[in-house]
Amino acid sequence: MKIEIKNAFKVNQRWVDINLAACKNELNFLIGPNGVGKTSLFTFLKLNPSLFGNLKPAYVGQSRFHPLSDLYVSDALKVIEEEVKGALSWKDNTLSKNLNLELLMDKKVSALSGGENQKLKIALALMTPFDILLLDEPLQNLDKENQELIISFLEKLSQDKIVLIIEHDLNKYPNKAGKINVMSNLENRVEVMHDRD
Amino acid sequence: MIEIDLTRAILAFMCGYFLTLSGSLSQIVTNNSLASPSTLGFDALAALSVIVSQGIIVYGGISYPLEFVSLAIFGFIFCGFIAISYTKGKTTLRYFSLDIKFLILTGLGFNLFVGAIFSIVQFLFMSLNWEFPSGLWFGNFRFFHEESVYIFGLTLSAILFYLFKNISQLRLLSLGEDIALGLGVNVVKAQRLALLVSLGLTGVVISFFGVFSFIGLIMPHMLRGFNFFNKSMRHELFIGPAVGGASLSIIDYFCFRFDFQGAEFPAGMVSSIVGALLLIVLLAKSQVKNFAKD
Repeated sequence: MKIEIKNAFKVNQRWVDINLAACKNELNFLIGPNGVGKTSLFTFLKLNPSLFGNLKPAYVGQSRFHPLSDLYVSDALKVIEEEVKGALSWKDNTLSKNLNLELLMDKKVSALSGGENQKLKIALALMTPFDILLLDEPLQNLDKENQELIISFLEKLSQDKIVLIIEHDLNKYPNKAGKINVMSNLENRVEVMHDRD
Repeated sequence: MIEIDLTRAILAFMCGYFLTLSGSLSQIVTNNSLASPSTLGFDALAALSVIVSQGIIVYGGISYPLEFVSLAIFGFIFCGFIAISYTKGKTTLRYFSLDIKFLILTGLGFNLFVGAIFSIVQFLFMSLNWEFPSGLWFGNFRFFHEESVYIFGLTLSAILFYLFKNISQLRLLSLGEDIALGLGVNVVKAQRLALLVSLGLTGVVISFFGVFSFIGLIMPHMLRGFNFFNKSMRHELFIGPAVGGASLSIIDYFCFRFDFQGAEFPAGMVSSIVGALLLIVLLAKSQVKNFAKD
């Protein structure tokens, strides 16, 4: 998958040029220094899903999942099942089962730990049919055990889907064989460039 | 034997319905259970249109009832908001053209501003011996025109149409705008529409009957304390407002039945006192941590 746009959007008054690539079978990354606009790029991609062509994107954002009502995990999943066309039950998704969601069903979303909340966010994203999954710093605030669980899960997922991870610390990931896209500040603009084909 | 003025009871019910729904919508948009038409400045805007209308009626010598002139003025402002939101509010990376926290701060500031204007205008009106809508800040159902029922009925029909058409989007939006955007909801459009509906409902109620503080804040919050409403946003948006409507109807009934030295307590005064006490209780139960977190 490749996305190439000049002057896509502005970050800190500067235009961003995008030359982004990602592939299956490996984890792909978007890296860059703090404040360069990685999350803004993530938001831009969310607002413009047509950029992915025929590929359907799904997203896992950075912020904690925090519904207005104090829902149980089972009720939150039910909302997606009932309101999103083509949504699958999380039970029908073999990958979701790797997230051990059964243990969380009777917990309130507000009572979930950081790792549990992250797993739930991923499960919510997996309920809709998708071809490419974009994650914004999925290992943030997770302990080592949960980090390893998420990484292992994403590596399994990447066999079948394209996975693109926004990160600023690649050392957490043992396998970095996929595309690495670098977002950097140039003199008058910001550039996103993939490092290898 | 219970003596009920049916028209009055229906109007009180619909006002409670509209204000509760207005509160639910503003809380869904802001993902904050302490948001309300008051904190977003909608009450103040509607009250301002009533004050301006009274000035136009007295100064312009217009013979139309205050509530209809006020509704017309408010409708004009409302259309202005629609025009601004659709021309200026293009999609930005912030989902909505305004930062929600900025919106709330602006709303609170606007409330204070209108409160000050109200005091100044009241002073001027009294100096000029003009009739002033002094009951504005404590809404009541003592005086109304029968035609109000038709306007409220029409508004109710429009609202139910809006809810049926947008319930999916609102349910997904209540999960958080991040999740909703990722699921393909046009978050900007959904938020904008919900805020306009919330504003419109508040304006209709205040134009006719004055301000009923805290209903839009407290009722949705209390409803979510019950599993039936907490589990399902559908229940909160369709059935919850009916509970709000019934509550205001009951409050008004007691105000109607029990007078003080021949004077009737405005239902808005009772809702302010009860609502303020309930708000303190809710805050003390740590509900404020959602607001602090945001």
